[in-house]
Amino acid sequence: MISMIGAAVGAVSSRLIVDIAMYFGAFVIVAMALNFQYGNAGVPNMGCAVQVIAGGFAVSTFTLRLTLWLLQKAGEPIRPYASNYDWVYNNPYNVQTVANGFIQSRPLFGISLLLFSLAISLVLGAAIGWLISLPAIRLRADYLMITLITMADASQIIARNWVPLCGGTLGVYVPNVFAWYPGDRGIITAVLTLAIGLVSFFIFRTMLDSPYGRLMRAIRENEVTVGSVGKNVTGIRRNILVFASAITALTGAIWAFYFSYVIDANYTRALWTYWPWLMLIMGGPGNNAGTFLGCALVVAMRRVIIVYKWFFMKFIFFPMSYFEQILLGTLLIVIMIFRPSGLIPEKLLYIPGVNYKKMVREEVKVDWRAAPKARTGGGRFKLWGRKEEGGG
Amino acid sequence: MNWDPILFWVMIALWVIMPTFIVIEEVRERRALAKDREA
Repeated sequence: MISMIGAAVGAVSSRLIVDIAMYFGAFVIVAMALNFQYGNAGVPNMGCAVQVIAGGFAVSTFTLRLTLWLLQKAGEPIRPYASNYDWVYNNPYNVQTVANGFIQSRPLFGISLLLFSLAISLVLGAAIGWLISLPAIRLRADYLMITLITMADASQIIARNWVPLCGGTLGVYVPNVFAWYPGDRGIITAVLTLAIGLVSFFIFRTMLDSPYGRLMRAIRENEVTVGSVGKNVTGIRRNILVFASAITALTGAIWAFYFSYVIDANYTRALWTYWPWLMLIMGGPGNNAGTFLGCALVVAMRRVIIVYKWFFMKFIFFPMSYFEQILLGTLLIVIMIFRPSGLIPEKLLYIPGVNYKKMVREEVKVDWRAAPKARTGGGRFKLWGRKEEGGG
Repeated sequence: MNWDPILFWVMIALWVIMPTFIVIEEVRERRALAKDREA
């Protein structure tokens, strides 16, 4: 009996760990992209949801149709899927029975579909980023924020009402690209998500350490000054939005494969805009450590509250469904009052040989041309290679 | 062969690499900044 309980608890715990890892991986990509946009470049993107949903659409619109077309060509018994009615009502049979059965014995086909989906979501994400930047990028922060938030809402309304996109209110199943894997699909998806998160982290880190990263910070601090020295502020902000949008869209594609299902309700504004903002504000914008800490805290708390709600129910007097929002909302208010710059505030940008305090007092002249070289001298990815090269 | 336990630990390793890297980098940069400030 005790061993059975132990095994049950162990299974729940490892399942919870996989769940938290998956959510952490997915949200950390979005939070890092948001940190890249808002924390470093000062672009207050309240439209993260539209970027994530682009990835979901890429899977439900392109990958699913491509799969069905290929299976039809291969002579598999695919039911019609051209009309809206057939697209939705024949979808469970076409995907669950035919496509997944086909992928089960052909791992390469599944992996090819996965790679195709990631590639197409990158492209579609970048295109959406460019599209949303067109009317919005010249606006000042508050108006930019409002425009992007309406775009995120509009994208969800379009998804809900335009059936060919992702099946309207019913949603559509998407092929299980890991059907060939005999074990738990959740673990392999979590590994993939965390691996993409790790690669994204290094990409963002490299960009932020580069002179372009310093230019982004300069725009955040004073865009008028940067514009006055000949930099194309609007163009740079657009590039940032397009780049971050492409990376964020990857999350949407992975999210579709995690659930094997795409529906607009999986890409809500609250889930993909407000929660990443909470993570960023809680951890501290402008640095990766803060983003990670905020993401880990929020994801762990949310998942634990959701999974163990029966346990918390004994201690609260209001409906359990409000507990998550109340707790995290309170936390946000407390942090905004007592630590407005987050749990880990942004530090000064460290460039060996540059001492900001002395610079402000004009006691030292800095050779700015040499500074970036000094920064990258030891090899960018070399963990232990950085030497502290004397104080300026 | 059951790959789940192996993938589980790969997942944990991937999960740990990022924060460890960030913490090490943060500590080094903060130390270097403090050193600069003292100098």
